[in-house]
Amino acid sequence: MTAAEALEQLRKDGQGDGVELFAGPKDAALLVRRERVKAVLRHLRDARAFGCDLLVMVTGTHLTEKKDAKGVLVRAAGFEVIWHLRSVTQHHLLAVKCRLPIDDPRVDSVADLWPAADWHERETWDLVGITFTGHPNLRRILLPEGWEGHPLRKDYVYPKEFGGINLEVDAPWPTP
Amino acid sequence: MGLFERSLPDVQLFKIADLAVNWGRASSLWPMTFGIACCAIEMMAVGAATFDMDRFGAGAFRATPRQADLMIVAGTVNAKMALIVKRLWDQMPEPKYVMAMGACTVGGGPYWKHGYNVVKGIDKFVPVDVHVPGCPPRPEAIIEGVRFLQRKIMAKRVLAKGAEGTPDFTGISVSPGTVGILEPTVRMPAPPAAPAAEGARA
Amino acid sequence: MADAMTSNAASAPAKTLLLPGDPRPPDLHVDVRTQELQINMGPQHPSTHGVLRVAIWVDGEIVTRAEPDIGYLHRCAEKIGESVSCIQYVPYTDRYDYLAAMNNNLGYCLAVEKVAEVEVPEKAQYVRTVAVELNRIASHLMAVGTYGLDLGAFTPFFYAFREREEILRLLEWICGARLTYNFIRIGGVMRDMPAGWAADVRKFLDVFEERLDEFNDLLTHNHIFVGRTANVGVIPPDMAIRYGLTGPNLRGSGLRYDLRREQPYLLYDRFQFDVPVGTGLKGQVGDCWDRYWVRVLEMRECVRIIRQALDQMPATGEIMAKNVRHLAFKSKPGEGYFGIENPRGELGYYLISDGGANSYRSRIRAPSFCSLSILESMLPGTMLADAVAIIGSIDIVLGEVDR
Repeated sequence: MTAAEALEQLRKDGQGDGVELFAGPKDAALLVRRERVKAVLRHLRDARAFGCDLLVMVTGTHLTEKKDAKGVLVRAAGFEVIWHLRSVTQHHLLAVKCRLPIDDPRVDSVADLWPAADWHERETWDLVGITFTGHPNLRRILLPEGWEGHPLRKDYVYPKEFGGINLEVDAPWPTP
Repeated sequence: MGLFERSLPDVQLFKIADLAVNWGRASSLWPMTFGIACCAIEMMAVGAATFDMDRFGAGAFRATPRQADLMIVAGTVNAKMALIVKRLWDQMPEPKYVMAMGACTVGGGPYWKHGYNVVKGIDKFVPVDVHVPGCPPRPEAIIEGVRFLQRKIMAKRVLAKGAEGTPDFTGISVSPGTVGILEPTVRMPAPPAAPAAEGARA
Repeated sequence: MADAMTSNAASAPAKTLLLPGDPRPPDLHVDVRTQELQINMGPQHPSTHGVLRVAIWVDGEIVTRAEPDIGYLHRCAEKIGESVSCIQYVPYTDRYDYLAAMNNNLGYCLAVEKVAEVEVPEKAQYVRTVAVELNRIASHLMAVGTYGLDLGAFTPFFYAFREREEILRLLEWICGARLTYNFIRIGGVMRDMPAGWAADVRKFLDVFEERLDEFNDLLTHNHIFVGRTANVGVIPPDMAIRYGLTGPNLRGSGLRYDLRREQPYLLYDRFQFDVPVGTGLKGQVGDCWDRYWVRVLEMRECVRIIRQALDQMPATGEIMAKNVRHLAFKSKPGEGYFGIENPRGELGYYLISDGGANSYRSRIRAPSFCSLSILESMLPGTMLADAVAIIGSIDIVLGEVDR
């Protein structure tokens, strides 16, 4: 099932509100409005036509503003969250996307739909800094507690030390 | 660091005692199983059949720092792990040695630039005796590192006076068969035949 | 007799020793008081397969709560993926799942090739298949060898390593490294097979099949091993899917799902092979023994695939795509996800490209990461000694969990 077929099926099921097609140059995806994310994902999981029982991954991206050579805005600053869903029984892979504003990166958690989403959402919060509302345990997973900042943001500055441990590169040895 | 440096005279007996103590320490290194990342697999390969580190007296991998005297830090150490490494090193009994295995522990390895939470070299927080470079080092390199450490241990002073690192066992005759691991460091009595022949030719 | 006992118990209420069938005095639990105890497993622990820390709360010997604590090997994979060019990133992928480095190379290269629209020559695809499947055997050998080690059987480890060293020798011959290969490159492979290599691989496969039987005698049907793994850590198929388990862990639960079958990449649609699943031979479907057994069976399938690949392989041919210029490689703008069947499950790379040399975002879908998250709900209720058996059976590589 391609993304276009999935969108058609969603509209047929009466769930097409706030969903459009994101036709990228390679993989197409369903672009869902933030308020509708959880309902659409729940429908994709439960509806017999989709049967997306396996959550492959959840991830987020920090998008910076991008202008082309003429100064026309190609991409607005913001965040993007992507869910990849797979159907074990019907053998298809679907991608669902959601755009978030730069100053308010929050979206509904789906950890209660798929337990697998628990750690993925924690990681996305840890590294990208997207808040998943309703997540039972949203805290750092890969980085230690007390770490500052979210490393996968494009404006992240590498820290010099953490907890008394020096993280800087040694100066090169003097050449004779 | 002579234990009785101030009170005891520098006699040949202490040099011999040193030799015995060091020989015992060097030939029964007990490494701690402390695999962190990719290097751990090569460390396991060294312990397994093909390379067998037991041949060099360093194959008894212990699971606890209390029983180990060599910590082979095998893999990338990051900010979260560094505190654990430090604590484990503190728990080891003296004398203890550290081998930094792999490029990551030597100086950050491939993560030196963009690894925001990787410690660029474990010698920032524990004293390292041997650095073994490689990504990961081959098992032969680890064995060479262990042998290097053994030579270093042989050069330590326990009872006898004198600066460390300069093995001076003049006057002590050591037969080559007794301490096979020491050959490059300890001055052996030269084989008599070869120099005589060269002298005759000259 | 039961009547006599009850009357006895009624006459002597202070009795503490109870026989089966005795009525339970209401105040018994006051005498036997247990306390919840927190113990800490790892990060330096011989049977956690790396630097995994699991905080376990036990009541007596029963685990009541378990909390895996990961991140001790976080190596900034995704930041590096954005900071270096696609070509430079290939060696980094070796180091995430270091037991199956070829597979990681392959996953990344296929994802980049999908986004950048690169056609890989046929010969290169065959060489890739052989290398990847050899590495899969090595990875499974490591998994089953160390699994025996976790459960107290030291000998199988040495037997597994003997075969593994043979594979490493073959892989070293073809690319020069024992563990981190960097052999599969974007657009093809590093070099063609050296002369005599294919013959040596065949020789190894013949020997390996016999030795796998030997290995089975040593571990698979060993009473102690079966006693410790059968009916332990049962994962029902629906639970496995909900937690995103893939690969041998999912197949151990009895679900025939293999990406090499479902969406054939490389040339897997040209080969005959079975997808072994857990059948509950020694206990229930989806127990630790089933997951172990699936890995052993998969090694045989790998042997079959390698034989067929070597037979079908053209003698000569290009090994690198024509349109890849490695020094000035630029991807086309776009984004894509590609998942392959790693020895541990579905390994996926999700790439967003801006049209530059670097990818704008590179996300790794690590199978071990998903498998590990099941521990939290699986360990409660089991015995503490079984925790080691369960952690070992899901076969995680911490380099991949933490990335």
